[in-house]
Amino acid sequence: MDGDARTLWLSRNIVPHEGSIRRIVGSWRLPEGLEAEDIVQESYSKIASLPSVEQIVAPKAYFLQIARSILLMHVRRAKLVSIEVIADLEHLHTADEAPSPETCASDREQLRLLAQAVARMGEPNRSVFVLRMIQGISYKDIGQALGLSENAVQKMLARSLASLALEIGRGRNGIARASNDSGDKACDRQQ
Amino acid sequence: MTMNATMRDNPINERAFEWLVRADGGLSPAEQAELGAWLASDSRHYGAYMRAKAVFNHVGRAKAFAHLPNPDEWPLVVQPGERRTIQPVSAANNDRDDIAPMSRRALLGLASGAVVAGLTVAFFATGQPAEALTFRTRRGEMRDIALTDGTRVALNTESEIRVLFGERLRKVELVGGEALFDVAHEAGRAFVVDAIAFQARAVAASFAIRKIGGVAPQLVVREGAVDLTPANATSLRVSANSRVWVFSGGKVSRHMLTQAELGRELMWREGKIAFEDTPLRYAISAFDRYGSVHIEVDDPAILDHTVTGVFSSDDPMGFAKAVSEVFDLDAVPQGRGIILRKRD
Repeated sequence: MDGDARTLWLSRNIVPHEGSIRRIVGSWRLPEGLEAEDIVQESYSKIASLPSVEQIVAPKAYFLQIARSILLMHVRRAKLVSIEVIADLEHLHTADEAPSPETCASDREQLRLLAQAVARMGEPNRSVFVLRMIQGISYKDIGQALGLSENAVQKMLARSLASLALEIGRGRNGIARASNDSGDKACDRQQ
Repeated sequence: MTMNATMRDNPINERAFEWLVRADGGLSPAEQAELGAWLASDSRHYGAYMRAKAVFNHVGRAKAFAHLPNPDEWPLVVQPGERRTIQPVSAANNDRDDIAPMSRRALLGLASGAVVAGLTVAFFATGQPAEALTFRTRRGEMRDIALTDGTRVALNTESEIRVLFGERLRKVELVGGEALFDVAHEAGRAFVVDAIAFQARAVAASFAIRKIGGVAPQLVVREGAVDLTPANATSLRVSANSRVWVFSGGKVSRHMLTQAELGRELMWREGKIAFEDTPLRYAISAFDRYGSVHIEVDDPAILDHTVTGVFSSDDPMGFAKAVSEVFDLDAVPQGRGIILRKRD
């Protein structure tokens, strides 16, 4: 599997679940100096480096397993670990016990989330987003149109993407009904 | 500045997105090596970068909305509980006539509300061999011109048009600058503005064209419809309440404008400049168009701050003072300019 195929797989199977993944990892008791975001990043790194992901049927659950193994590795390496952390490791939950609405958003719902997030963006960030991501205009030309340096345009888009990432993974109220949709490709099959 | 606070707190994610966007724009071999070193130095960097790539890919699905220039409409086409796929973009769907045009009443309100100073009436006989008539404004000057066919032209600062009316065509060349055309209807004689990068043709419409150095020329249509033909490219119809940027190679980008955005685009008619979350560097260059008082900053980082508000285009000091209040700076006259300095 080449890098682009892996990117596609991550974008379909992990990015939409980021909200609930973060909530679960955020509920874990972590050794001092380790943050939930570190675990999320290292899990992405691990899953992106796997030789194959084709056999993974429940991507979110798999991601959480990886996250758990990364936490264990950090605990083993840490010189000092509090007794609470050790106690918690026994029953670290990696499944979404109270499934949140967005865990199972259909493709269409994901597109709707994205549309809403873009509609809410301020200007000139939204114009930059549309010009680059939709129209494929070069950064130089966008800078010219908006009177910004190429660098400023790139920074603007980078910031917009970073906040969009959080919004599309977070989900919104009203997605719950979508989880009844059949044929949800983006849904973990076991759910 | 509209910025999400949550994304600020993870510098690795922030860096990852910056690298990704830079890579999207193309990296030099040296930058490539720098990125490689950054990715290899920490597995979190690599993970965050892969995540950024996945997010980039995910939001790229918004291309499904390519036929809807105004993102405000996007959520409306993906209604919940309805299994409907987004209509593919059809080449024939260039017209945006389904968007309600601004009412004529609203337009008249605007036109009569504006102060028309120094009205010039251009007389010249039609049917005669066409002779160019040139109108020009100096920096900071604005001018309203009435053409013989009843068309009104408003010229913004440092602008020049050449009027060349013939028997079958009312042609105006926009040599440079910015102009608003309220085109009077005339059966059988189209009105064409030639802006070099593109031509705009209308029967009856109200539209503005801006053509200034270093910026992609733009067309804003506030009423009626304008056929825009980029040099060496096929034409497209642009309906009311939209803005089109014309890029090199005839590439165009069209956006729908809200009434507020349209108002801001044409605020120069009242001697005002409107900013909304505009980076200071751009706001300063906007003032440079209108006068010779240049605003400097002692710290270039300030230039990335954004400003919002309506300012008089002939009062850069007023603008500089307003900016200094917001960002805790001092606006000090220096020579013929103004310098924005960090407050001691």
